[in-house]
Amino acid sequence: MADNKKKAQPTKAQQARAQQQQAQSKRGQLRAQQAAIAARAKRNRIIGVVVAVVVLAAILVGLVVWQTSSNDKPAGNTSSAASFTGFKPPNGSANATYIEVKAANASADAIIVDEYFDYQCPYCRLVDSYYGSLFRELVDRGDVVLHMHPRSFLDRGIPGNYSIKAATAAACADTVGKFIEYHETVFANQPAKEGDGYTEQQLRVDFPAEAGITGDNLTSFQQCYDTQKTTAYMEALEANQVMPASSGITDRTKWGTPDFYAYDQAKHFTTNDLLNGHKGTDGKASYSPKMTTADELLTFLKGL
Amino acid sequence: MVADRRAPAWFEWITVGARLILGGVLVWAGMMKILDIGQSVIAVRAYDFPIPEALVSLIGYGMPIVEILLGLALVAGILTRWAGLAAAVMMVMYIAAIASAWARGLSIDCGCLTPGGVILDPSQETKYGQDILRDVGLIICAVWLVVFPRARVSVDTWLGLGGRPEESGGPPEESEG
Repeated sequence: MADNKKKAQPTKAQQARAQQQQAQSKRGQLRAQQAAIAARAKRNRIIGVVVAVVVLAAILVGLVVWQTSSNDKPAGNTSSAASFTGFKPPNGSANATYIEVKAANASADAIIVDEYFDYQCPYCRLVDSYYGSLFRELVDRGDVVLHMHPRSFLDRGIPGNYSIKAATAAACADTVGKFIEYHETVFANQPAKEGDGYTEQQLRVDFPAEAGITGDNLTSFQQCYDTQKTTAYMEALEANQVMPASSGITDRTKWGTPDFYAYDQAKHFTTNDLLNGHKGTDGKASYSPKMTTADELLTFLKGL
Repeated sequence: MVADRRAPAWFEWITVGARLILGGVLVWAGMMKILDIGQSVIAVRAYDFPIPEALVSLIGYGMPIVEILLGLALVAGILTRWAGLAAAVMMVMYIAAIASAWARGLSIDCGCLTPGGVILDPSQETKYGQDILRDVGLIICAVWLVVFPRARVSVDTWLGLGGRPEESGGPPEESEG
């Protein structure tokens, strides 16, 4: 094409130039068109990728929300003062806030200690491993009455509902008079890793055996556990958890588990009052108890 | 077709390898956390940072999402340089967190590739050294991607990003000279 025009060039130079320009501009137009199509395709691809990423992000957020909400339990009875109307374990408080551990010979001025814990909470086990037996001794001596709060809030974050299952089982042990023995057994067998939970075999066979529940009591315990007879009470207990009004603590971030409260003295105390922390050379933390005898613990409680 | 015009052609295969390693680990880590999201929050709490609980939750819930998205972006090669930079920043933060737990004598599972949490069983060792070493390896991958982000096998190339002239759909200005 260009050659043709070149032949005509001497005579019709201007026309040829015009033609050439026209051809060039046509080619330019074509190219521009192609470029526009390519640009549009590119833009569409970018939009496609962006949409894919956004959709994926939404799916992931949805997954997290779904996971979180599926672990949530129904709120249950939230009024802390109302008395509980369902099945109540024999030593459970009327308003479903604690299970009482009290010796028959408890003195009138025995110190009431509230203990807040969750059976899946590793530090609760840690404190219990040092102080469980001391508190037990003081209870047996009649110097202390324990108000135990087996909470189950960790179930909201850990799949498996092991906290409420263990709490249900402990309350069932209370129906056969073995709450504190069962309680100690659960903590003694807490899995090394938070969240691994307890097996059905442990909760309904191994633990009661270790807690000394046998014969008819065992049958009765297992019937209670299998029918979740005490679950409603323990769920209410979790829903009802507040620090006693006398503590003046209303901010939920100011207490948790493990946590303690000396009821009559209206004194809140924590692991910091009970344990010394050490930093090992191997990078591992270790803890030691500040008190090692029941008498030391009693002195501490009286001094609060 | 290579990162820098001066870089050897085979560099892009290292880039693809680095993307697969770094992206794969991030996706894996994110998935393990998202499947046990409650434990992820517990793991963050176990670091015992002096930050409000709301922030702990935000990190616990948000981090796995970010990890998965970033990991997939790296595997696919989307905005590779920026994804690599983000991954490097995250790894530095992870190392700082692990080192701080180490220095403070906390006994925790870092929650890097597993949901993590407090370790109380004395027979279970903490593995801070290994965790940090692994993250350093991943940082090397990330830095490589920041320096040499380009590879033919990538969404960036498919989108015509990353300034590769032979891939862009025909320069339109050519005939106007």
